[in-house]
Amino acid sequence: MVEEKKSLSATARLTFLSALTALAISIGVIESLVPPPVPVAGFKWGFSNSVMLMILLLLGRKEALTAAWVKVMVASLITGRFLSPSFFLGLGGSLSSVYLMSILMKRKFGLIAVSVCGSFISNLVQLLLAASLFVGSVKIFYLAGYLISIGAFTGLLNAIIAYGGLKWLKTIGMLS
Amino acid sequence: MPHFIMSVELNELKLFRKRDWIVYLLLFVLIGVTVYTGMAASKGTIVRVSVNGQMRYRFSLDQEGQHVIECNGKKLMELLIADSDAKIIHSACPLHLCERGTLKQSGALVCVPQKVIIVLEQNGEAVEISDEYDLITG
Repeated sequence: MVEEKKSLSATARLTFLSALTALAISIGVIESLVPPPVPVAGFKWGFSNSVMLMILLLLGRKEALTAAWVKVMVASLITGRFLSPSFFLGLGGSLSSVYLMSILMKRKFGLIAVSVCGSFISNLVQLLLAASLFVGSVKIFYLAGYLISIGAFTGLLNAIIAYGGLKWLKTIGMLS
Repeated sequence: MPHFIMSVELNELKLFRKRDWIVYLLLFVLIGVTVYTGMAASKGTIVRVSVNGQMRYRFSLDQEGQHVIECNGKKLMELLIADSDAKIIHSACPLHLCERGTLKQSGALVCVPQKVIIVLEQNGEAVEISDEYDLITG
């Protein structure tokens, strides 16, 4: 009986991870079709971070990092940007964001603060990668004001979306 | 329907907590500093074009017209200077994102695939660095 319960839980975890990763990929692909907040390749709005937040809350850090990795790989393959500068910026931003959010979540920060910090570190890492690997100039940080401001806004929205999504999953009886 | 237990207790989950103020304070300061830096950077009169970390051209905002940006004999893009502002046109990159917006609006024009960054400088003279020379000395 115990084994049966464990098996069900493992299946449920895998199903949730697959479904949420697919959702994050879809958001990532749709985002690549709309103009980014700043006119620089690789920088996106970052709404798929709301799904990463849900995965982090539901399943934990390891699964969220795996989902972030898969999301960037598959989304870049679909959009034809695999191994392009956009791919490396997206990968660095996503992984750093998930990692910082998991640390802040363990330290019991509020969901909005966690999400906003995730957006911030994602933008910061992307700027650092763009400055060091591609443009070769720290003057790209002139764009930081726009990016951090927009990141704070999308971080706030992502937290509300993730919170609402989890509450909804509880309402329909998926979460206990 | 399978019940699913979260790694974080849903009842403990809150949008705001008392300790969050430090995050918002730091963010507020960072936004202030970076926006101020970006605004200060867009007040120059010399357009500096760097390719792959190396300064290639300097144009005055008075030099109105289209300027070809080249590197190693390859045309990368054209820079349009008009109305005391500059913008990228006809870029050879695949996404053409750099063609959106002007230099004064954003503080910097960046083309990541072609490793080009265009910013404004307060001082300097209009100059073009030729590919024929590796070093320029005073």
